[in-house]
Amino acid sequence: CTEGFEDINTNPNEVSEINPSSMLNPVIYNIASNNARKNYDITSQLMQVHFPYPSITGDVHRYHITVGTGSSVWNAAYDALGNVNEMLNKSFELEDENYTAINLTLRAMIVSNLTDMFGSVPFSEAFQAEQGNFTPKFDKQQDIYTQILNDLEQANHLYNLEESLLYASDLLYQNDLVKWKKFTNSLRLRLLLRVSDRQPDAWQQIETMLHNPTVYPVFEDNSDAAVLTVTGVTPNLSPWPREQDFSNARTYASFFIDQLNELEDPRLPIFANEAKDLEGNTIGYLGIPAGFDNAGSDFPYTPSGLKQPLIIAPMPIILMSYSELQFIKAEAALKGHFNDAEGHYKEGVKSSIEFWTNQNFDETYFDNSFAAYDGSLERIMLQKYLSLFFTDYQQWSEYRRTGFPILPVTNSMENNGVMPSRMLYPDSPNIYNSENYDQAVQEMGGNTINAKVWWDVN
Amino acid sequence: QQASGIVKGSVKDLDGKPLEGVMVDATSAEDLSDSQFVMTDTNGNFSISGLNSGVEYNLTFDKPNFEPYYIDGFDVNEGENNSIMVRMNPITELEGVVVTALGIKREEKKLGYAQQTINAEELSTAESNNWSSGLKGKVAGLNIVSSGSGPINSQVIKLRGSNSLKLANQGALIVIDGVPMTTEMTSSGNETAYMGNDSPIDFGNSIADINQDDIETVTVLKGAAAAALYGSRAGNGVVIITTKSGKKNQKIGIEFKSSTMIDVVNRWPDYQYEYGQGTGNYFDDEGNPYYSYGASEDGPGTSGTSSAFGPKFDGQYFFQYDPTLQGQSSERQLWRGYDDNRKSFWRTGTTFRNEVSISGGDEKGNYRASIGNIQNEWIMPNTGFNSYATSLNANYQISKWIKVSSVVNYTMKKSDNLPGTGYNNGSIAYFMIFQNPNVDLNWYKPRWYAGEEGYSQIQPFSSYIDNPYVIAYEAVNPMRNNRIMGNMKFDFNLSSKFNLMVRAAINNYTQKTEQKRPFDLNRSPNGYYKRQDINKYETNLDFLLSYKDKWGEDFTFDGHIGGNSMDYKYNLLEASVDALVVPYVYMLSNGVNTPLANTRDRNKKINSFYGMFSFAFRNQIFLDLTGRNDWSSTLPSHHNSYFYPSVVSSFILDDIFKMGSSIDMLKYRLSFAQVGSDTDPYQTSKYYSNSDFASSASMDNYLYNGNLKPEISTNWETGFELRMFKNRFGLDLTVYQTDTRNQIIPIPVDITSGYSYYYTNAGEVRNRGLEILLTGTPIRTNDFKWEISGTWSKNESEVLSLPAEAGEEQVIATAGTVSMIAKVGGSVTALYGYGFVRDPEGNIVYKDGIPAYPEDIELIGDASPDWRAGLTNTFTYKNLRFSFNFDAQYGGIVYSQSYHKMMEQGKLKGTLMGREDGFIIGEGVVLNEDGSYSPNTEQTTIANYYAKYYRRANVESNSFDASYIKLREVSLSYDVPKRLYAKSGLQGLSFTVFGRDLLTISDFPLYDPETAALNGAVQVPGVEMGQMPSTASYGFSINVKL
Repeated sequence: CTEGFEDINTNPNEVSEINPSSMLNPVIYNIASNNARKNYDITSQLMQVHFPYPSITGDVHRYHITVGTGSSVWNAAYDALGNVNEMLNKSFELEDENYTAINLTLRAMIVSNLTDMFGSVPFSEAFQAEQGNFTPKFDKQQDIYTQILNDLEQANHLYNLEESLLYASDLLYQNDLVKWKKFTNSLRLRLLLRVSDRQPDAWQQIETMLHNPTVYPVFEDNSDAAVLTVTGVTPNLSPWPREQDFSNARTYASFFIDQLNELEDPRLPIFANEAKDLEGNTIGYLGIPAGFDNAGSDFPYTPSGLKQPLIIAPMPIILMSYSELQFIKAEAALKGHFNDAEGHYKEGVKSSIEFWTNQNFDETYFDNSFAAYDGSLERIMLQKYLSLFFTDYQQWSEYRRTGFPILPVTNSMENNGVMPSRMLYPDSPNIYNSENYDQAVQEMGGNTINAKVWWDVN
Repeated sequence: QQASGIVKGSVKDLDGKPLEGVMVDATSAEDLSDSQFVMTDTNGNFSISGLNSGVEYNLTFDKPNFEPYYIDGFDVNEGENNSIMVRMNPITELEGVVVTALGIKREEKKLGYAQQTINAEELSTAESNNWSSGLKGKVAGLNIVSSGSGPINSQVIKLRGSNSLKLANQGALIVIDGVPMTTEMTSSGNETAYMGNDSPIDFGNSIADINQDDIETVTVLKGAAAAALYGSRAGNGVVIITTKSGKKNQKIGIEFKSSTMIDVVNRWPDYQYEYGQGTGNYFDDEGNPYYSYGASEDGPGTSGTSSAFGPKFDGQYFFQYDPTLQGQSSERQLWRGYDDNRKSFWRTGTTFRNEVSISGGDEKGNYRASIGNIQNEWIMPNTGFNSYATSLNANYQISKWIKVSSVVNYTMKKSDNLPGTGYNNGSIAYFMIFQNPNVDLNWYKPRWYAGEEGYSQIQPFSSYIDNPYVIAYEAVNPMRNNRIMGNMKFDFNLSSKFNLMVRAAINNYTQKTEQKRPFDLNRSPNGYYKRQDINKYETNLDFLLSYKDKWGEDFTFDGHIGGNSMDYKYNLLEASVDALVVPYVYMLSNGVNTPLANTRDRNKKINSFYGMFSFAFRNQIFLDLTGRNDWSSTLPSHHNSYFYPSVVSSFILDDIFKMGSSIDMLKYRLSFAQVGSDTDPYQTSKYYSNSDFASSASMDNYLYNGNLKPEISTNWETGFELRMFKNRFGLDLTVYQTDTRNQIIPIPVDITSGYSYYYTNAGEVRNRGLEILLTGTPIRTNDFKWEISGTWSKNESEVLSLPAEAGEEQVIATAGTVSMIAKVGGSVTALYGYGFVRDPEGNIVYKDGIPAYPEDIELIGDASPDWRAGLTNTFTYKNLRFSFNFDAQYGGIVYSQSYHKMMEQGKLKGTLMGREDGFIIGEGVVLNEDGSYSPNTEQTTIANYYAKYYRRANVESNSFDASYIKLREVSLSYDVPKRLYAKSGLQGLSFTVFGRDLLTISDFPLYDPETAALNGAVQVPGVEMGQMPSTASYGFSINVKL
């Protein structure tokens, strides 16, 4: 009575076998797309770039953080990591070293953002449902960083540039192994710098890498950067299917606009619309203060809004820019671990402006005393902040690491006006993995936005 | 050489009336091939020739509804000297015979479980586009879930409430002429009724394809005991449809039926037309609110909002939208409301049905063939459907051994446009909400801005609001489907005791649907085209061997052994392009992208063996034992065989205890049954999800389980049936309990494990209920009869267990901000969401002038009512028949997304309070710092008050008691007396006028409290999510028999 049942119950719609790159493009697209949305929802609000307007109470720019605020970061990261994990198992199984290196790189990028945002997260025991483990333990951030920094070191050595990649062209680098290798190392520099205050031997590794570019090749220009080009051709679509959802009920913060005004920055017209007075006349670029008091919600002008072309395809989504790498180098140099801080600072500014404007950089930009290199970390970090526009959570992480740029505080901000140090865990682990969750929360001193992550020593 | 003999005789019933159509069979006791049979004529006479004299024949007299009569060892003499007079016993004096599981016809008296049979007349005098509507209020324990989503309006027939933790597949199994039919809906690909990429479209399910005029009877088997023989799919009860057939020895008859029906919207939300568009925040220099379409000399534009908190219509003049300039008017225009700017969008719906049938029969066979057509134009412009249905039902007694019968139905249904439903920019329901009182609907009529036809739709106020005429006429969803259902059945009369039935049935369904979207729609700025092709194919092969015998005077025995092999193949291919190169060219080759294509095939096979053994003692005590074993392809090989039994008993107490003559029947029933059930295909091993990216795949969110076991539901049922005063009073009472355990559900797990859900056997749900059916004939004279039939039913579900690791709760569905969550101790249709924060006295707590937001969601109510009831009255006076039917539901709630939005936007009269003052101080308390409460004194703006009091997340303020009373059906039929047309050759002529859904009494502020959110292919009860207007129908039909 059961003849042929196995054939009948074999899924004719979905595959049961993959190769080590099968999920690469969905992972790259999904994580980039979610990063862009969450940059809009979280980073840009906390970092006073732009925020909802009108906004009567609450909202992230007033440091109103709920368990829901970070939940889609959590879900998207684990969704992506689960896929990367599957590809990694396959690349181990097939001993495909190039795809092992690529998958380790992606994993490091995704999990670093995740732990930067939440602190301890399940990692070493994650993705074991098929083996029957539905409740992975939470790993400490330090252990996660140790693992992924090792992974990136290992990945750098795994790349075999003699071989070409076997499978379908990837969205990020179109199977250009050299560029993947540069991304692996550039990412490792980002992560080493992130832990450098907590783990000073990171500087030695940074030095080793920066002084051996043949062993550790890194981004050499904007074309090397980890940037997803959203083409607008399905399925590679803008994260905002409707452009008005991006610009409606949203406005720029004074802090961000003021810096760019001061710098007479050519990126400003790319990012923002001009403000208008009540008669509808344009009055230049003008934001409103983040965390503004509702009583002052009637500003005597329509502040600068978000330029829709930013998210109309073709559009870039930055995972890691060449400019960021230059600011890493500048900071390393400033702190005596590399050379020519000013040169790297300028290259960082220039490459960011060229990236957004698509025009040759005008060197007179630095004639502005506000733009000129002044040998301070604050100056580097201000430009780094501007260059990290639209780049996942980096502005916020860098702010937590360095305290720069110094952001204005208003009375309407919750949490006593103190910048949140992390996102709250979503409900899911609390419900479905409560023992491990409780332990992690206890170790961190509560699931609060003021518990600092491990590398955050400020 | 034997001489031939002829046996003659007559057959009469107990009253001495001749019986026509009795099959008289004479078979030699020695030689089974020596056999003849004839049918009795209209006078009950028969004559069998060709028999051999001197041989002993066994004679059998057989007629439906009568007990077979046997004469064994009849010695035939030579010639015609053999005469017999037979009197046959009707099987029951009280009831007819009903069709039960597997098509076995049985006396109602013998049944040990609740069932209800509705005949064609009760079902369809007040017609509707879906025959199942005719069951409403007439069957105790039956409920129909429907989202009210358009002309086809898929319906889920639910019996005895919900006992499942899954919302899909809760409908009863539909069996047509013995052949099961799947009734799943096919999603248009948009799985949410709230703000998806496109709106779900109801392309109908198979229930709607059955032609109402072909239905002879509908028998509803509610419980597992009744349905146990149908197996897995019958766990939610069975609705058995028997289609009309011809009658034996019937002259050729032609019947023509024609009806015309109109639909008009029967209820409207209480729109306000006193204040126009505006946020309430713009005032002129004198402090008076003003309006300006775009910025003008009066001030900044105020026309971007969708809210109606603007200036009162007070005879003022403002700069407004000018439809000829397609922009701001050059002069100020009178500030006024347009009262019909929503209602006039809708039209009167019309449905024309015509059917011709021909039927006839001789002594050995009969047939009925019909062809029918329905033309529907629905209330929304440019929507509706056409259908053609043909049906052939024939049978023939080839020899006394073999009878062959066949039923073939073919239906073709097509629509040029079926509406998108739900709350979404492109749904018409969304437009109705967002339309402002000061906006003339005619402004939208040109559809496109001049010179930008096809590229820029007229949407003068917001790019979120699609033009309603573009939606109706250009964003269309055509559909065409063909269904052919056929079966062929052989009945072998093996001996007077053995019968064998063998049947093969095919159900083949093809459907092509399209979704065409022009440029500039909110959800498809560059156009969109999708095509979906479905081919569904199901075969059923059955056999059933029956045996009946009598042991002595007191015991009779019926035995049936059968088998079924069900093979189900569902193929779906969908392909879409989400940006078009050339507008209006809807082809997959006109896409900017390579078409995205997907298959959603599902294959399944179930093989079964079953048996039923019925014992009767003196026609007083009846006992049925059944058992069925299924083998399902969807379960893992070590768990794919499962057996389940039932025991059903009934006791005719009035016979046993010789009760008084006023009691016609008192029956007690008691039954126990189990039904095993499998799951959907492909859950037992690992697959990767498809990705829209080429050469790619993704991890599935659902973890497979290679150890799934069958679900088992266990049902107890008991009840009484009482008939008194020569059947003028009847009471049927049933109580039941069903426990469903080992449900195969996806339980949530933490995503950090690599999956979000894990298929497993979990949870136990108990359903208990009470059903009452009352019938009465208060008045019965020669000319006048008054009949009453009432139903009342109550069902309560309780979740007995859910896995602790999943938090002892299971989210069954979400629609917008409402969640249907099963929690241990609660019901499976409990609705959760945010409510108000309240002080210990129950006052609403305010904060900052608006109701405070609670931290957690709470139980707001239940989508299931406390009880349902129906009442039908039928008056017959000579040839005139008048009938009306009420039905009601008490309790239950509905959350209304449309209400929320219209309150938030100031569209309903409920938002007029406080407008004169310009502010509202919410009635409630505030929490003081010392923990005490004092009255709220903080005022807030009108717009803010309504937006926050009725915020979307507030399920409490936006939910309503779903109780209702409806005047469901009214019909008046007149059979023209035969004498008036006796010479014309007509055999029958009747006229009916009818009405349906004529009156609704309910607190629900939208159209219809009977609603559900259509999430793709799943109807979520208790949630209104962009409802379409409900209609009252009025119609007229004529029936001519030739």
